[in-house]
Amino acid sequence: MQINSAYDNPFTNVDSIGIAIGRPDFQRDQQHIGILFIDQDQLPKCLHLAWHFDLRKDTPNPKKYLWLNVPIDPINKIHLATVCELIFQSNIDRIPYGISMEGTGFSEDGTFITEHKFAGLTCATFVIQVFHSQGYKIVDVENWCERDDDKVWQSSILRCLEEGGASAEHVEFQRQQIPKGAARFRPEEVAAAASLPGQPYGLEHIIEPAKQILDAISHFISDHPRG
Amino acid sequence: MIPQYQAIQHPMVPAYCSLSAESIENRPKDTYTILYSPNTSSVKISMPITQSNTTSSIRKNSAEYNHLLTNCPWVKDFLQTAHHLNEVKSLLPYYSEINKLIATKKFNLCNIFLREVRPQELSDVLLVGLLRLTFSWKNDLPNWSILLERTKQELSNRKYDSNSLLRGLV
Repeated sequence: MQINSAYDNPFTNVDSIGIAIGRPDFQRDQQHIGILFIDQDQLPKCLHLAWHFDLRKDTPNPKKYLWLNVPIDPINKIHLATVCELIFQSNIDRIPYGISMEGTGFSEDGTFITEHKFAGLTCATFVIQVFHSQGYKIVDVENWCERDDDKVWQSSILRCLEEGGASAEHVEFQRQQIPKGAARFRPEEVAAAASLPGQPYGLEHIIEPAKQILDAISHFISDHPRG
Repeated sequence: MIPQYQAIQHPMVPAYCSLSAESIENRPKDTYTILYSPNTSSVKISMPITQSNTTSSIRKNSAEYNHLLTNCPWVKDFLQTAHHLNEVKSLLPYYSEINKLIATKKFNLCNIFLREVRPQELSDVLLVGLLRLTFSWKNDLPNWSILLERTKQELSNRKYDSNSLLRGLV
């Protein structure tokens, strides 16, 4: 698993598609993940679910993101890059933020689908669903363990959704998912799973490589302070 | 350069016909001539052989195919250019059109489309892309499995590892 800084290995070097991960807000111990891909204009872009109904395709900031390659052949990488464009065009303001990915996904045509009106995705489960929709299972969703501190993070997300203007029904639906045991997929874990061969990965096999990514982000931040 | 010609020899005295019944892919009508005899189903085709038309083939204009072209006029361009579609920019318009077929649940049209596609005329990306774009609805698309088998063969012909390229689909 090679973790790249754009200062040493520019985003333009990605072979059609990869993973971008960083800690955009230094004040928060929270990573953010997106799909780095070469778009139809041959420019490197990051497709990511920034927040509630806020899917973005923007130029990745080399000060904020590291990137990793994905172990997929060049032919399918071009297909996936095209799907990223398609998903962006089809879902710019259609994907809600939600703490449980159960009953959600992308159809192969790139349209976000959900079994429940208020179900949604996080930045990490968005990446999972993009790969899974095209037949690339990167994580073993069924056997992903729930951890004690998942609920702490989920409660903080509920507060952010409330303060951010999400509907009361949407927030209430998310609240109901917590006691049901909604496992959290952390950005660094999904980044590790997407970039290692031998997928899909369960949580136990991904903890160590995820820690390597976290360490790389911390070193990167200390080496490139943002004033 | 003197063009080479290929011809299917036919003993009957030919007569010119309009191209309402059959057409030749990847080729404007004014670049070839079809000669036929009214009492047989054989045709005589005369056209210059160039690098760009060596994969051209005759596609019967069945009622279903005409129905597909009427409802999805983009299919004509797609079939003519499919061999060259290997980049995001050129693929995206067709992915969007297939997206519309699936999103509006026009499975019959999509199924005809999958039948009309010839793997040997597809780019490398489309060989895997068409199957990946449609595999969730393979139970509604009887021609999906047929295309899968033909794609495996074509990948093998191109010296690719079909199991690797079709990972997650087979």
